[in-house]
Amino acid sequence: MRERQRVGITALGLVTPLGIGTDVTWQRLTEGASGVRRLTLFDASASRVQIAAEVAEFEPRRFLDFKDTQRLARVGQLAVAAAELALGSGALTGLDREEIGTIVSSGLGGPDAIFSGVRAHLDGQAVSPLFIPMAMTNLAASLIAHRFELQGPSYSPVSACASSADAIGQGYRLIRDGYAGACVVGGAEGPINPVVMSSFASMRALSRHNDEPERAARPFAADRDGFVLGEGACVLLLESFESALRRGARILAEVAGYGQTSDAGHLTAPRPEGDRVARAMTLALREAELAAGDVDYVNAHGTGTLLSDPAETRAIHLALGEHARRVAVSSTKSMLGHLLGAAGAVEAAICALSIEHGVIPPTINLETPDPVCDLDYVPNVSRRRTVNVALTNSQAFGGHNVTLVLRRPRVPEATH
Amino acid sequence: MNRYETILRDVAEFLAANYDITLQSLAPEATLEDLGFDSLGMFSVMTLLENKHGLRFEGTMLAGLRTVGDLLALLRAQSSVA
Repeated sequence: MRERQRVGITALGLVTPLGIGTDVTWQRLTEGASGVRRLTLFDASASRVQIAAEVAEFEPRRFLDFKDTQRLARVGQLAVAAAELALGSGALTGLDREEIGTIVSSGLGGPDAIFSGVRAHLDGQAVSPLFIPMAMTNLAASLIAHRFELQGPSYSPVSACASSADAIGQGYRLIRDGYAGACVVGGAEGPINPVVMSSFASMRALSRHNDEPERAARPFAADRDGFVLGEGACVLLLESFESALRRGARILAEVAGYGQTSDAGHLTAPRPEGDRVARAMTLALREAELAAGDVDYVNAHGTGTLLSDPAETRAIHLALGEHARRVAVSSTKSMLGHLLGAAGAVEAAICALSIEHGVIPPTINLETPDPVCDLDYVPNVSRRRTVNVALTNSQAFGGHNVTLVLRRPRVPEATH
Repeated sequence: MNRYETILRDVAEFLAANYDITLQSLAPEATLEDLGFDSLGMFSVMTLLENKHGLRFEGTMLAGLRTVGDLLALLRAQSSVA
């Protein structure tokens, strides 16, 4: 049995409602910008919800050949774009592609493909052969493995809005335990579709502030009324410290801990006590051999729904104790919307960037906090602060709770 | 326009819209693989013709298709089947 490997992030690519690319997304996050707009991907004029966080000005042709722009479900197009941004400029040089895993998730797969397939069927037509490959939730992992010839373990853990947090956790463990030398991990989601939005709207999960899109996502605020649906993708390269040092790759952050629990309760509502989310946080910290007092920043799941924000606030209190009152907590969903299965990876990337840049992005639209949400949510304006340890929470429909711990890499040669 | 010509027009439109391929410009010996026209593309065009023209393609008919000429021959044969 090989000694356990330490695991670092050595590349990342972001395609988000705040921009196409890591630098632009980070810049706009730290400015407190909103990526929420009136919907353009379909005609929502008769819909209850008419806003979303779309990846504006996405030009698939920049990343895909013509055939793939015509046939890939949106989730696949966004995934390939993020992978190209992360890996396209030689990030894999010096790695053996037989040893690289691809663990990339989406929560929903390709609802646009499902929508057209069902419509063809109801019209009495034979359904396109592309329906199955475009609908499957492992499309993103498959496309990325193919494009970069990655031949190691490849799959897509599915746990709704925790899916890509699990993808990172699974990739981290494959490397840590010696089953892969490196893993391309992450998540993608292309859920902005009338059927998906109508169901979330019927659940009363979505904000209906149609007249002020940029102010619609209000996590932890007293006047929040739900999340804003978003789309996008994040792809990261994880590898052992040994591998990164050997090939001279810079380690942005170490993935140091992964905790998972289940609410074992309601299908969609979070457990109000927050105790099982707290346990995921505690397990992740324990794996990272860190104490509650070591945590500088918590990137909260923070969807902005009525039930979820208070439950997560309780969880943070339970997990961090007295330190909860001092730690900086923010919900970047206030700016990016909720990217469902891609959210966990995007937010882990934000934690890595906060460690790298020493800036904590804010929770915007937080004018009047809900009295039961009593933490320091870094309201409205980003904060300059050294971040050595950051933690990101994901809580999903189905009761899946995942926490990842990221920390500043502790290898001197790696921090040049 | 006879049935074969109508079918050919639909195939040409499909190739232009989905693959940026101009059917008329292709030599019969050009291989489908070189055009980036993989098995999913082939199944897509067959499904289109089944829906629109009531043709029926068995998997075994597609196994030997390698070139544009093979494809045109198959379409001609099928278009004369009732």
